[in-house]
Order: sequence, then C-alpha cells, then structure tokens
Amino acid sequence: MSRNAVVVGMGASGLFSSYLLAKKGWKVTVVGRGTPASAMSTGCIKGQIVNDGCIEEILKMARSNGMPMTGPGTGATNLGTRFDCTLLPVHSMFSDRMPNSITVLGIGGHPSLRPRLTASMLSGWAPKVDAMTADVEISPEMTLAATFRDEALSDRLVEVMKDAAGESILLPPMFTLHDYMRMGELERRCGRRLMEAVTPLGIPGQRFLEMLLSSAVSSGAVVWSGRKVTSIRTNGDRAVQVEVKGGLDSRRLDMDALLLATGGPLVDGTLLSTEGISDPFNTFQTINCPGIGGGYAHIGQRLRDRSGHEMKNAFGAGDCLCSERRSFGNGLATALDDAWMTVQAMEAL
Amino acid sequence: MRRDVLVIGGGATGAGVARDLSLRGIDCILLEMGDYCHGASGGNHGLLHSGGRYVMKDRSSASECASENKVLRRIAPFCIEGTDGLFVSVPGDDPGFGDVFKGSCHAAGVPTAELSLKEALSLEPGLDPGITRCFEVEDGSIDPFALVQANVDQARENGATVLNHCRVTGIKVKDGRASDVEYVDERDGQRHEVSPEIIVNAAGSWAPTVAGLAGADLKMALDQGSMLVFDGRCCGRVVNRLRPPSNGDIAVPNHTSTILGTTSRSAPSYEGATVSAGDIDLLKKEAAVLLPGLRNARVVRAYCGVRPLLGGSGGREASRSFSVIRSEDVDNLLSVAGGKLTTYRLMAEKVSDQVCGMLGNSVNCRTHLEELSPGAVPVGGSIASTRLVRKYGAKASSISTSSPKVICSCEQVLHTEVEHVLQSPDVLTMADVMRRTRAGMGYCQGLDCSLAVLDIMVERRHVEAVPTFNDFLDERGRGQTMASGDQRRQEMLREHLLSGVYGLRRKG
Repeated sequence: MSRNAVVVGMGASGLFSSYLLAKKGWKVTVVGRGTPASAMSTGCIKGQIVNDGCIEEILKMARSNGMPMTGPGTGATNLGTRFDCTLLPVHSMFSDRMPNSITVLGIGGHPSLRPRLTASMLSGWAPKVDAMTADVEISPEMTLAATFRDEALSDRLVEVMKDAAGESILLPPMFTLHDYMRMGELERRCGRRLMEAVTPLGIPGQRFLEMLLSSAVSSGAVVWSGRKVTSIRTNGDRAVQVEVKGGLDSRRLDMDALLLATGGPLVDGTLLSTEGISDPFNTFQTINCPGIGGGYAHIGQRLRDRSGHEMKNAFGAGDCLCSERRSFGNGLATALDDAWMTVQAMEAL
Repeated sequence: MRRDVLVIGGGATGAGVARDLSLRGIDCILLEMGDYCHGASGGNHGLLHSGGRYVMKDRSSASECASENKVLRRIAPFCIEGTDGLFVSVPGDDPGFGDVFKGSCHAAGVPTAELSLKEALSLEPGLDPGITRCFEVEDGSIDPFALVQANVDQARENGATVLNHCRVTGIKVKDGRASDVEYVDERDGQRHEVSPEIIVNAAGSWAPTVAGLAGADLKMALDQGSMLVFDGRCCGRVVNRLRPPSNGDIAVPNHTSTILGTTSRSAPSYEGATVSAGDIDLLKKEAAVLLPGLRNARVVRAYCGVRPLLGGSGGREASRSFSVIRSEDVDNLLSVAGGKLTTYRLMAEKVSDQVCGMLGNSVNCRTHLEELSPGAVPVGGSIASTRLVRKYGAKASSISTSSPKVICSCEQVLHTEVEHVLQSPDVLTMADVMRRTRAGMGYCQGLDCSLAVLDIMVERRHVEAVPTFNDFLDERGRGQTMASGDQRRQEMLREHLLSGVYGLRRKG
C-alpha cells in the first residue's frame, strides 16, 4: 500500500522532493502559496551539490524537460559579471568555448540586459566586446514563443543577429521552459552562438521552477497551489494530520509523513525578526541565531518538537534548514541537495 | 589666480555667502570638498522652522527662524512645501506647558494659534485621538539640495566661480594673513592655487580642520542627531511634540517620505557619527506616541547629521544661533559657526556684511529681495511638473516629459532627468545624481534605478562601471545593517543580488 506524504512549500526543495517521492511510489500532496525564492533566482545552480545522486536527478529532469543543463562552468550575468556554477542551462554556459568576440544585444521590452553597461563590464573577457540594440520590441509579458508565430518578427531578429560583429551574442532571457529549444533554432538560422545572460528576478528562475513543477506533476504528485497549511496535528512523536485552507475551502489531510519545505527568510508566512526566523506553525523548534541564516532545525532531516524530541515522521528540507550561516547565492544548490537527502531519509521510514 | 573672496564649504551657508557676495558685485570663488550639502545641510529633516521649536530655550533663534521662514517662502517657494505644523501634547505631558509655549511664541514673534482637538484631529487624522492640546505654527518642509543648488546657480549667474569636489589641502600664511590656498580638483586630480583677499570658512563640521590648515584655532562642538526615513507620508503637516525639546519629537513630511527626528548627543567627528539601534527604537517609540501609525510603518533608512554648534559641549542646551568669528591668528580668515538651515540666508548676510566691511564695499544685501530660480512654476498643475519644479526649480522647464521612461519607480524619476543632471559639470558620481534626482532614495534604496543611472553614466561620461557602482553601494550601504522588518528583507534581497549573483563588493 502506498504511503501518504504531505509536502508544505512549492519552492525548489518542496517540488524537487515531491517529484522524487512520487517517483518512488509515495502518494504526494504538495501545498503552497506565494512566490518562492527559487522563482527569483537565476535558475542556475551556483553552490556545491554533495550528492552525486542528486546531480543525476537534476540532469535527468532538465533533459526530459527540453532544457539540458551542464557544468561546472561559468556564465555571464546580465550585468556582465562572471557567474561560476555547478550546473547551468547549456545556453548560459560561457567557459567551454571562450569566444573571441561578443556582441551584447539589447531587446526592446527586455530591460534586464542593458547592452552598453553589460558590454562595458564584460570587456576584458573576450578580445572584442560590443553593444547593439535590436530594432525590435518584444513584450516581456508575451514570451518570444508566442510572438514567434509572427514570422516577420522572428526573421527580423535573425537579420539583426546576422549583422552582429561578435561571433557570440549575449541575449536577455526571453524563453520559457516550453520554448527553450528555440534558442538552438535561432542559433542555426543566424550562424552565431547565442548565450543567455544569467539573470535573477525573471524568466530563468521561473523556468527552473516550472521544470520542477511539471516534473512533480508528471510523476504523479497532487498540487494544491494557492493554499496555506494552518495547523499541524501531532500524536506523540508523529505528525498525523494537517489543516489546509484556501479561500473559504478548508480541509484536513491525514498523512504518514510530513515534509516542511517552507523556505527561508523571504517566504510569505515566515516571520522575520532581526534576531532570526521564528516558526510560523508554532509547532517545531527553530534555531534562534544572530543575523539571518537560521530556520527550522533538523537532525538527520527530521524535525524536533518544542520539547526537543525527535519526530518520527516529520521532516524538513530546504537551504535554510541545514546551515546557520550560508553565503548568498548558494541557496538553490543547498535546497536541492537537502531535499534529495530528506527523500532518502523518508524512504528509510 | 587672484580673487576677492574664497568661500570654503558648499553647504547652505557657503552657497548662501557666494550668492550674497556675487549679488553685491564681489568677485568670489567657492570650493566644496564633496558635493553640495555634503554635511549638515544634507543631513537634516528638511524642516523649514516656524521657530516654535526654540521659543522656550533659545528665543533669539526662534525669532530668526520666524522671520527667515517668511523670507524663504517668498524667495524660494519652489523648493518649499508650506505644510504648516502642529505642536501636540498627550496625556502625561505637562498640561501647563501649552500656555507657556503660547506666551513664548508671542514674545518671540512666532505666529501660532491653538486648535480645538476636533479641528486638530480632522486636519491630521493620524494623530492619537487622546491628544490633549494642539497649536498650529508655520512649519514647512524644504528640499535642501534644491535650495543650495539654486543658490549656487544664482551665484554663478552673477559671476561667482563655484566648484564642488575640490578639497582645500593647504593655506599659506604670511605676516598674519592667509595668502595662497592650494586645492585639489577631483576631476583632474591636479593641484590648483587661488589667492584671495579674504577667506570665509563655512566648512561646517570641518571648519576647525580648515582653520587648522591656516594654523588658526577654532572651537566647535559637534552634536549628532539621528533621523529615520519612513516610506510614504505618514502625516500631512509637520508634527511636533508640545514639550521641552527632547528626543524623537518631530515628524516632517518631505517628498515621498516622512522624516522622524531626532536625537542629540555629542559626536567625535563627522565621520565618527553613527546611528545606534537604541536611537532607532527610541525615535520610533517616541514618535508613535503622537502618530500611532508609525509603529508599524516601514523605516527605509536611518541616518545621522552632525550639527556644528558654537563652543561649549553642544547638546540640547547649546544655542542654535550662529556667529561669525574673525580669527585672532589669521587676520583675513572669517569662520562661520552654528546656525540652522532655515536661517542660512541670514547667516550669509551677516558674513557678507563683515566681508564687505573688510573690503570697503558698501553695497547692501539683496538676498532677501531676489527670488531664487525665478519662473519656477509648475505647468498645468500636473504631478510630474510639480515634482520636477520642486527638485530643479526653473530648470525643470528644460527637462522633457514627453518620453514616459521612468528609471526609478520609487521616486518616479524620468530618464530625461538623469540626462539633464549629467549635463552639469558638478555631477561626478552616482550619489551626485541621486542627490539631485532622488533616484535611489526610495524604499528599494537604488536596487534597480542604480543600474539605470550607471548605464546612462557609462554612455554619457564613459565612467568605469565597477568602481563607480561600488562607490555608490558604499554610500547607500552606510547604516543599513540596522534595517529591520520589511526593509531588512529588501536589504537582504539587495545583498543577495549584488554579492551573491553579481559578485560585487558587499556593502560596508
């Protein structure tokens, strides 16, 4: 008989663990709301991933979603600075074939890449760097995929890129997950290597999350988005039921295991004080540490209750769980790695 | 180069002196080591005093404020918001204080009227409903950057040379007189020399240092005041606590924010002044007594200003008045000390009178008659035009509003504004752009607009991007480690992006 898991949190660690659990035969319900930090990330994995199994899973997932990833390697940010990664989408990889000349191409409607500024910061990377602004306007709301049905616009972009001085072209991110393959198609048509700038707060982070979500769903996880867990019922050392609210709808879910992946200090619902992070559910113990960087404590991926006793079937996953101090920018790697380890621990239940 | 007068310091006082002297036909040059309003002129509430704050302890300052308030409203209406102000008491405050206050206002010539509590609450609905008394005064808010810039502009129109980013590095003294003054211009990094008849030392907190270059001794007490910037306007009028001047008893609505002040304690130096977490808590707690909504309002920034006060030990007991000191060691060195932003013009007048006396010039002061930035009137009453006029005065008319490109969504700064200020040779750094346009002063503290400004500067000025940007981050990062709540989240996001993603220098 399959076991029920409730996963709270629809960010990188919540969705990745849902995907892994569902693949292993768990009946998974994942509940979440708000914008997870990973959606604001660059969608590139900067920090180290310790578990090879975790890397394998990410590569497999990326391939099957049409956005192959590679690494380690270096990308160029939308500001023109270097971004060293453990894993990144193939079109963001810069360092495997260092170009002799780069054209930074600005596209109307995609202000994340300011060609002049980026070119000035990039100079020194390649012998020749120049800036160019395409005489096309592509609405950021309407992704290129949709506009590409407009063949004239597509042709226009290809013509512009054929005129670029650089052998490689750095572009702002314009492609959703569904259309990532279009970059290869454009590349062939204009005869230039196209590189996507590593960009936070935009399409790449959303695209990465989209990949996790579609993987979780296609492996069988049930997704309850826009809902909030309002209470957790425990019985001795077991968490047995959660109450989930969404609008007027309120329901209770029984479970064999609970996984909290509610994320770090930027998450909606998590209270932030200057001292640290406190537990929104007021159920489990939290680390109270100076500055930011704390979260739920977990020992071997398991949570402890208020009195310090280890819970048998309540787990935690996420980048804020496993280290009090982490450097900025490494969260995505830690979140995925920690989720992978938590799933191993849950399997041992 | 020979000049009649060298003014050192480009705060309100120095710029006011340069304007005054040039209007009297005197050849003068002003040197400012940083940007205008680098010191106390930029680090204050932006309060146009009615005088009410000083009626109890410092009647002459109160009277000076009251009369200068009227003058400034007349000569510089474009950079003033005539919000009016309230003095409000709450239960627990001395009930008799209101009558003493009223009498003192009358004696000092500070116009005031007592309001019924119902009137007060309808004028200022954010006030605590339990207030006990309320007086109305003629407080207002003023944009010090726009005011000082207008003084600089008028001084230049009348023949003065005004240079910012020029640091005085040496003053030669011969036979008890300062002869040659050496300065370094940051634009070219070169040393230059000027030989003035008279030096006016209007360097504020740095006045003792400047006097020291000439071997003269000048005593000045540095008193620091901490202020908080709240996101949005939490009150329509300046709100003061009706009690003897104390910590956290004033809120000034200014532009898109409310500035809460202030504390008072002695500072070791301008650079050594810092806001403490205790200051922030104290200011919030005290101000929330009058305006309970401030308890949960977002503090965007904390900063401190340093008041250069006359002699003694400073603090609340020290006079807010000013004096002009002729050095005993160096005959042609005049130093200005003390004073307030509101009385800057009067100070400049007194200094200029003395300079004229020494030069044998008998032309009278005209600074109270000549309008600053004449013709600065918003067109058609549009919000965009009003905002531009408040920042740039009459020069607003040369900024195109036809393109809707906004580079700073917090402060609604237009792309064309940045282009406009970059035409000025005064503007060297991103912080210089910020002081003029306000891009970077909003709640995101320059997360997005700073890149837009940097982009334009790379194009127009061919600046080196990384060092230019890092300088700005250092400037904006000062004091932001104290942020809490939503602003702390904002700061974390900013640091995450700048340091985690872009690998740029972390804020200091």
